[in-house]
Amino acid sequence: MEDGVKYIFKTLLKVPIIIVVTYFIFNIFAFCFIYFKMLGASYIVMQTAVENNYLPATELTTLHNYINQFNDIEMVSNAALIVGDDGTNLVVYDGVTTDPTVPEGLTTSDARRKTQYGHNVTVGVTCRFLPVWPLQHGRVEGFNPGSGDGTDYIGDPTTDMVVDIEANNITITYNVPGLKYYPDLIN
Amino acid sequence: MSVKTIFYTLIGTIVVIVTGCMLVELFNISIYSSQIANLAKVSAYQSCALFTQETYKTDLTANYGAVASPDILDSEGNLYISGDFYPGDTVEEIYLALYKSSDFTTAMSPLRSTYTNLDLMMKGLENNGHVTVPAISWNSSNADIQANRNATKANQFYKDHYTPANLGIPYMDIDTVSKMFRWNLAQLYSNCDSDLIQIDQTGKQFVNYKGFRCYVQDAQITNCTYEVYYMGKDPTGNEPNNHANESVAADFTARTGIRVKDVNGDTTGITVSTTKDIAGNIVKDNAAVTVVEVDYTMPVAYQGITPLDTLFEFVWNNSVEGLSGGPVDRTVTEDFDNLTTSQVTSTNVNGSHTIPSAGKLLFVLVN
Repeated sequence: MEDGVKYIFKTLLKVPIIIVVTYFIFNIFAFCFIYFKMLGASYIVMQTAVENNYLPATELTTLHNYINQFNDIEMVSNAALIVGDDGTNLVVYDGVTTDPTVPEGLTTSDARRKTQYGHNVTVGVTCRFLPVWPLQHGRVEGFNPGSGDGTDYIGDPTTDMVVDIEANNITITYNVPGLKYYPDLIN
Repeated sequence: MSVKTIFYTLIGTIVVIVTGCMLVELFNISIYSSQIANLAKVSAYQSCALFTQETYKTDLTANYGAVASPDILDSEGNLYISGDFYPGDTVEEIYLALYKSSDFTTAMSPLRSTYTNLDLMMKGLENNGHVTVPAISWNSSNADIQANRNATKANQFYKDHYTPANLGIPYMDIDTVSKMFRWNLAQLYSNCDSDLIQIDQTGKQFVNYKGFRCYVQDAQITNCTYEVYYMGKDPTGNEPNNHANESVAADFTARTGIRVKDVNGDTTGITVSTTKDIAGNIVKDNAAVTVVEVDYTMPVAYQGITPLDTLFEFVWNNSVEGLSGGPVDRTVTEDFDNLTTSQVTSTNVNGSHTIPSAGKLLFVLVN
């Protein structure tokens, strides 16, 4: 009888451990999958910036729509395209402003503005990976102020979004030189 | 816990660590080796495009991409890649250095029979803009008038600093394009961060790109091969005409992806035509397209992103001297131009562990 009770308790302990370990392994695979997808997307963004010195409006919209699709994955939130660096934070594309006046304090070129050969431009992608655990309650974390708790970013959401990148656990950025010479641009 | 268990645990831990490191290195190599190759191709292509734009003619200031770009420094503040691209300080100096060189003459001479304007341009250069212009009068023959026109044109080409690019021929000066190539590579691989330009054990600078050692200063354009696709003769061999030779056009399209109009009923693409000058000579310039095949290379070694390499080096460097003499010399070879497969694989010949990352691209100018 004692052995039977021992066995029951051991089983009761083993089952949740096995479940948690299985979820852990699943989360590792899911993280790797999402990371590599973001890496591939970041490479495309980088190559576009290198070949044009900035992200032209058409490509910008296409890339933004592609990165936005990642938000449809349940385990991803806050997926966004990085278009600059204001010296403190990375600046993400808001989906609207394609040719802005460079905000005060932007120390490197905004990737939405055409620059001359050799000038640096900071581009990349960012997102937050949300692991899945058993008995986890459902939550919605939104990027727009109306759909979520709205605390995942700082700054004015109606203009450029300034994202605290520490909130996102996958951030891939490149600081690349533009390699196209524009004869009509004055340095 | 028995002695056996302790050993099993120790060995198991080492196996897990080494296997984990190897998997990480394997993923790193798989992902970033293709990135290195692609970025090298982008750099080479953009350097060809920059050279073709002849920025020295419009902007002689040392601004980005014009005549020169800022020098690239390494992590210790020493010069790594110079930003001086062109050989000279004035338009005249640069023009003459590029187009009176033996490399230019060797590369473009075979094309003179196809391109009338190129022939005139080279005559202007050979005579320093003083090609003898034959006098003509009211009763001169067409041949004489054409000779007069040609000589005048040759002199005008020299005076206006005409280049093959102005005539629709993508000539690449290997030295200049190589300098631009290296500058592009160094900036790209280092993420514009001089801290990633480091120095190896032998004192040689390299760019650390995701665990790869890219010896960008030894990257170069190794060769440019020019091939002319003359589409002027129609299938029956007649010229001049406005219909491209379909077999030549098909070869051209297959190689470059650029379509030719009126070939196989195609209504889009480039148009070709041949004409006659007043002396009756066929002018082939508008029916010929030159494709340049650019070969480039860059030495690459791998240092890894995990301590695995350090571990192997520690084991390797603690070898005992054997019958053949001292320990293996693992210095990096300097002779990248003549790097052979045996040198890369052998650890006895200069101990080279670099591999040339080579590539090839096609560059076309359509006039």
